Amino acid sequence: RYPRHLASQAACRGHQQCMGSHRSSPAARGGVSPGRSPSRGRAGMAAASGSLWNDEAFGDFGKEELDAFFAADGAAPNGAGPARPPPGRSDIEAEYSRLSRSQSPARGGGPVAAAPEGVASFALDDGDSDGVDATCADSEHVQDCRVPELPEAPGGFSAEDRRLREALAGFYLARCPEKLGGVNAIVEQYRGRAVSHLWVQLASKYRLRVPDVVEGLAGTLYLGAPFEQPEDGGAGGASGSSALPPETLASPEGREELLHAWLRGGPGGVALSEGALRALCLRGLPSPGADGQLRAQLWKVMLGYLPAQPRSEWPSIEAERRASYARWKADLVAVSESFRVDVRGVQGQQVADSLSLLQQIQKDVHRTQPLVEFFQRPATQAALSSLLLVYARRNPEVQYIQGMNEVAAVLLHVASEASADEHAEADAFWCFSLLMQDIRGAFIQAVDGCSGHGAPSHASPAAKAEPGAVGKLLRALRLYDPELGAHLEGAGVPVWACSRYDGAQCLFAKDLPLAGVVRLWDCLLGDPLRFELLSQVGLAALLTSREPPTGGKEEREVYGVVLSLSHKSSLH
Amino acid sequence: MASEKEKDQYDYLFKFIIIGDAGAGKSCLLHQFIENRYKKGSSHTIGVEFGSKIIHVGGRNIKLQIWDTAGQERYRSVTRSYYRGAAGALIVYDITNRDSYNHLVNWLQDARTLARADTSIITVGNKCDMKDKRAVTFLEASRCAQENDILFLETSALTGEGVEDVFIKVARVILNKIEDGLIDPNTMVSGTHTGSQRIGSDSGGEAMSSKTCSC
Repeated sequence: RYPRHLASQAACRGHQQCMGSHRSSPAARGGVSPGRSPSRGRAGMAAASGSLWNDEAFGDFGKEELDAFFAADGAAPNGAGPARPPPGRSDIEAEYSRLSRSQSPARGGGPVAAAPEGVASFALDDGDSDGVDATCADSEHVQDCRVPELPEAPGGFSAEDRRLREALAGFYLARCPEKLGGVNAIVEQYRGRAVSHLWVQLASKYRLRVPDVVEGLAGTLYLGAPFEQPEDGGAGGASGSSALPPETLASPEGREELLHAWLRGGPGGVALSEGALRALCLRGLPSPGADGQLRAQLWKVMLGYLPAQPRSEWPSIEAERRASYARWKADLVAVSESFRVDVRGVQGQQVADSLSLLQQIQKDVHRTQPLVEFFQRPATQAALSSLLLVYARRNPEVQYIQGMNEVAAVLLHVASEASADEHAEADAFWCFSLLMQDIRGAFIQAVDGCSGHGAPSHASPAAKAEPGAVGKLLRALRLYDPELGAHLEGAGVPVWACSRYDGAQCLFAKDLPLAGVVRLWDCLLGDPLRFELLSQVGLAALLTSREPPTGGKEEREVYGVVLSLSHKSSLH
Repeated sequence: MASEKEKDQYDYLFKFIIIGDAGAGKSCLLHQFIENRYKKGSSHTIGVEFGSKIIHVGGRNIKLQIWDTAGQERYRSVTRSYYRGAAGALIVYDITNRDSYNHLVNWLQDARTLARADTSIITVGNKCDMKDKRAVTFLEASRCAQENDILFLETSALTGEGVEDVFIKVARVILNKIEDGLIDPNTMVSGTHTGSQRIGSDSGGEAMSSKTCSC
């Protein structure tokens, strides 16, 4: 079993280093806090520059930058350059490299295989330090592990850089004080859009709880960075940024006040650019129920149902879209006084198709959000059934796929907090249609199997590279948690089983309590790179809720662990 | 041997799949079997879910590894990939829903073509607590099962009636096939394999390999 074997070997060596040459090899200690559970029993994270970050969405994100980070993250406290593994450890590296490659044969060909050196040194640092830190903390050499001072922030740091620096300083102070010295360097490498990568790295490395990751990320996002405003480089972005001082963004009250001023509109109101609104949405709206109007309207803007500006157009747009929906619905659906839903139509085949769709939809509508009273009401169930049927008939290539009910339910719930019933249904329909434009591919992929070509994947999933979202998740897993990744592949767990963790399909709508889903969706809808963040949340959920494997457990239990992960992850 | 250690010991591992129309109660059936209680607020299954339990049949400890599939037709191409290697298949219908019963033949055909020829199949008429809404009689379903040479039981995932019997019945049939030499328990493809307790010297290799990959 390579992880244990290696960890103990590495710990042993690390111990010697700790006793003998503290100063010379701070890098060997890597980044593990004394407070971290020593019994986590998980293989070290073998993160390396790799395919994940070179994917389409991050094509502009340089490999060198990440290489530099990985080096810097394990770097000496003074932040002076990339860490070099101390001499005498290359045999372990080589072994690790060999083992990790033999554990996951399917990863060959990627950048990981191309740069085994990087994999080895990074993973080793991490695995190594498990034992080392504990030894350091307990040994008489503890004075040599004292906290380095936090260096001054360079003059060129922006307010956002400083915010990130503060957050990181707080983080490392609590978890890994010896890294404090490198904080400025980390800020420089991760400023801007890359902060999300930083938090995923930290989540994985320090096994953070998902809410902490979300909070950390939300607190350190760069308003002016392309991460939040990729399309908004011009005057709009600039004015958005200048309108939102970081202090306002940092406090929930400040954000709430600003958003309410925006929602009020009129002479006393505040005009906000879409970029600014995204930044606010991403940081979370007031708790559900406090003001349904705000979330409902802001989500409409985030989804493109309403424009951010000018506000004056909203009533006419809403009226027009609600009228269209009412027309389509009248052609397809009849809802009785007692909220019985029936299909309408003239031609026999169409009616038969509708009826079959309606039956499928209603089976699921009756068991959607079963613990929430709102969804038990006949009126709600009729509205949900109707909007799903209208969508299914208007989008014959998608129709209805289980899981869509969960997505629509969240939108209907939010819309209902703001509008009268029939408007809520129409608004939810439009929000759902707009959201489905982004996620329909994931649904279709889910029912077509993972091949993405409509062919069911009977062959071992390990045998071929999975395209699309699932493949991306697997590639990410191989980077962050090669043990789990290799296990899933080697054991032949159907890749489908993992795909929910990509989150792209139901956006966690089924896996969390409703309030948690709504809060998470603030982030997802506010994020212009919506599904990049989403897949990282999914990955973080997967990694942070993974249970350490125990020796006595049957290997196949891992299936169960993996499949039950979603129920354990708590994001609210 | 320590009792807690015994808990994890078993002689055979059988893979089961649960298939059938959406809303027939597949997930509730599995939940009732594993947890011994009704799953309130159950939602539809997306793709597959998984559960496992060790049962004691014919003097053997048998671990059931059960894959619960999504019933919606649209997911069929995905769920089909789970049939492979199943030693047992439960085809569930809802006794209050005639359609779900009528679709039995399709599910049976899927199971026969996609799983092994010697897969033990049982058809399960669920929701038998809802007698006043019954749309499929016991007699009719049991005759159909006989004609197709498969097992049949009625259950209630709500009350638990008959649920354990279903799994035990199928496990017993598979066990008989093994003891009659009709299934080789050491082939993974058959959907069964020997557990951590060795039952014969020839099964050593299998037991070893199952141990070494327990990560």
